[in-house]
Amino acid sequence: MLFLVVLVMFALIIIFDYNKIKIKQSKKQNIIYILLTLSSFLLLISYVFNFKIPIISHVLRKIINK
Amino acid sequence: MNKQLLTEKQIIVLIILFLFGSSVVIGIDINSEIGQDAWISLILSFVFNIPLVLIFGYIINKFPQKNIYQIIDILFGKLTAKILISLFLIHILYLGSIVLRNFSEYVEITTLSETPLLPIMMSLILISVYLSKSKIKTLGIFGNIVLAILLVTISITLILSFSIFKFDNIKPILNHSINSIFKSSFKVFMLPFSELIVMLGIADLFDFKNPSKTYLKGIIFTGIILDLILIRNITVIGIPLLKDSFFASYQATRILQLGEFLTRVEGLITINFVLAGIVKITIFIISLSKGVAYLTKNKDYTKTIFPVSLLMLGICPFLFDNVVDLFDFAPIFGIYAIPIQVILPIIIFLFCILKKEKKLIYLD
Amino acid sequence: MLFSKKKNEELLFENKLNNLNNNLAEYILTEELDYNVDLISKLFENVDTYTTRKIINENDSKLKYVLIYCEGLVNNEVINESIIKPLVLSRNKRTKKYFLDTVQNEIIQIGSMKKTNSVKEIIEKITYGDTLLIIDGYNEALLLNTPKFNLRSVSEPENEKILLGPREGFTESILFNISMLHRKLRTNDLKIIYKTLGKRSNTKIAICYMKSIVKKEILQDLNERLDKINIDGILDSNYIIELIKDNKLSPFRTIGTTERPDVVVGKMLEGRIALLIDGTPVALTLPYLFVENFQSSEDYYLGFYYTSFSRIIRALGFIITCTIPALYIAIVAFHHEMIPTSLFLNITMERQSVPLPASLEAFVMLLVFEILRETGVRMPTGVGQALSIVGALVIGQAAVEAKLVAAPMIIIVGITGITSLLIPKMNAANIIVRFTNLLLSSIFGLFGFLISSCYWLIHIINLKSFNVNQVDFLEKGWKTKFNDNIIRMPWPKLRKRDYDIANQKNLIRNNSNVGDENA
Repeated sequence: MLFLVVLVMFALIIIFDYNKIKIKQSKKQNIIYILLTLSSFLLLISYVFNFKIPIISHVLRKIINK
Repeated sequence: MNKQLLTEKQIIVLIILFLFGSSVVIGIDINSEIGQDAWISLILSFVFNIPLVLIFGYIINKFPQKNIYQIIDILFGKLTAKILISLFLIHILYLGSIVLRNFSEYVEITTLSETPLLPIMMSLILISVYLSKSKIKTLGIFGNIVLAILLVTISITLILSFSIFKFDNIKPILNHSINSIFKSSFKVFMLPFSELIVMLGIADLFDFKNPSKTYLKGIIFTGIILDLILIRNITVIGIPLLKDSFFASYQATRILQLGEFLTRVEGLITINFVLAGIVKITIFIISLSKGVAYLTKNKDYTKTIFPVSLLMLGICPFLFDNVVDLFDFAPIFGIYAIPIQVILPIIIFLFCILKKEKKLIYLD
Repeated sequence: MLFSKKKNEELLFENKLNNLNNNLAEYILTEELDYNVDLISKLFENVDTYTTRKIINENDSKLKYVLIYCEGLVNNEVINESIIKPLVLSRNKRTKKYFLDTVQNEIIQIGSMKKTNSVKEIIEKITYGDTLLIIDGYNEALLLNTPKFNLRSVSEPENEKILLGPREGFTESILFNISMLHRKLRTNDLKIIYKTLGKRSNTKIAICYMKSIVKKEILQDLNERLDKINIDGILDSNYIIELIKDNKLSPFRTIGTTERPDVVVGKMLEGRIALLIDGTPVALTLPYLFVENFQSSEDYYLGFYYTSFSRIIRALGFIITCTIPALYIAIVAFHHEMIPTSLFLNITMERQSVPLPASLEAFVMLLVFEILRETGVRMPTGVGQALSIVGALVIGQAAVEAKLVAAPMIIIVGITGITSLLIPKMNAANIIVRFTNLLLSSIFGLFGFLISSCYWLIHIINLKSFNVNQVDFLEKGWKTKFNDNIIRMPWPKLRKRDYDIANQKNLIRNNSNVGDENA
């Protein structure tokens, strides 16, 4: 559960940074910013809760080993 | 000479640190069939690298003060450029996560065995983000300081290990077949050395006069240092023990001592690696955020640093299940990385030559 | 003809008085003596030191004057002898010429005076010791310079003592401080520009620089930043520092402060700009490089071997005080193998009976040291003896004997404390860096210490002082790198000024042909 505390800290830093930046960017850039941040947060949280997501390395290895 | 950009010496320093950062992974090549001739294959991989570096130099010479995203934009059409750059960015993202994972595993295995991975990765990423958000001059000066520390530490460990050299460990020389030497040198070439294409991503912050010469100097210097370190590792510990260990330099420095007083100095090696790793991850992050800034038409790359680095952090824990996976994957990675790291520069090079002169008028 | 106005105008006037500063600029004097005196008396209502004195010329009863001043600030002798006497006794007639000029040039016997029309300026000057002279029938008045203050005498500043060299220090009056600068730089190249800051205090500050050496961009930048200041009172130089600083949240200094005139003159000769502020002896110098934290003025008065050594010791002191507690904790708690075994066994033996974990112990002891240091600054001298006994005996000795704290920890805290006193300028930076190093190193061991030091290193490299990089010396070429930064080369070798701070055209400062070729 310590992870969640650290993640919350990270979230606060991001929100602080975002507030400073969002005025200077266009809407599209803001959306991309939020998208990327949310996706990485989802990934991190799923790591904390021990989900496993297969990424390219697993796939590649299976292909090459065959 | 613009004071806001990096000077030639600082670029050489960055190249050295960049390549040195991966020497954590180089040692593993002794696993394969070559054994004590690893140092020869290292030299061969440099020879392989030279034409690629000359290609980089030529491309940069043609387009002074532009990074690879702008070059691709100029040479290809809009849609092709976007596709190519997206592929490139995904590759860099993946590569960057592997590097980050590499360093965190190293720190965890050698010093902090009971800490989970995530805090270590977060600390490394935080420092790299701070470094990338500052001006590029900071990176240059920081690289200077890190290189000074690095060279001092390496010379200390080299001198201390003179007393325990066993030259028999490195004989017989050239015992293995040329075929296997070439194969392993190819793998070494793929993994750390052709990563130099990532440095092209920040080429608009460099102040080159002669790019090829700069790159060459950087590579030769690194080559000499890495070779010496490899030789030291082999002679100090010997092949059988080295085959089973993950981090060869770490093992080699564990047995160094200066009289009765100064023993077990492997903490210094950790400092070396972590500092070089920070610089390397910073270069990855800057390159990546410049690419994302180009894709989203953002003028300032510092705005995209945070989400990009978080994404790198997010992918990191999922790459490998444990450390054995990491070292298993490294040779395979070579084949997977060919299209981007070798073929892309060649394509750009060919396009450079073939395109007509008048189409090369670029907008500022 | 007092109170000859209509009632609603009077009320309007009184309403306007409530918005003090915004409307002062609107008031100007008119040609009626009574209206003027009335106006100013109303503004200075309830100021009991405010004095008026009506004068009528002995030879021509149509010449009326009124003298206005604040008691206690003015030189009564001068007023009596040089103002009232000539005004009363003069025989000049009112001719067709502008009589004010006649009064100014021929009658009054004061050194410096000024004509003025605006009430705002009058208020500023009367409260600083000037006397106002209003003449009947003219809408301009004369401000006469007649101050007399009691000031502290010149003494050596406490925080910047030196072994060998001049022992003057600035005092609280800006005129006297500027005079000290003039005595050392006897040239007209030294330019001094006054500015007024602070809405209610109207403090005078002076910008001093050498015109042919200073860099124009820095001067312009400074002027722009000073114009943006909109605060009600400036009491000390730190108010200005925090308002014009570059990196506002950093614990490191980007603008230097000093109390000695020879330091200020030395820096101006290198192309820096000095700011003197009325009411405080602390002067500012900018731009300020990071190495200046380790330099002191007597480095140029003593021989170069000794001063190079002193500078290196000060730099080492800074590094030691920030890293030793963190390193100790990292080694003792995480990396036992790095110290020789016998030493480690000794340390463990001492620590066996201590209840607290090592990092908490370190925090508590460092906190206690800071408390002792702060008390030492604030307490009255009578209590001093008792407190030092308390500090040394009780906390040091008895705590160890009672096994509350381990003995090596006392040594570490002692070393930290002593080295932190080497550079009193950096005490803020010392504390913050030390505590973050300690915090991270107690969580992550040597790796944490590395992360924390990297962060501070990058922070220092990032610092800028008025757009000049603070760690310039790391980037220079080999010839100039070691000239005057951490070690000081002898004077024949210090040929050029700093490229980024001084005007590019006037870089050579020492061209003397003192050579050992003629040995």
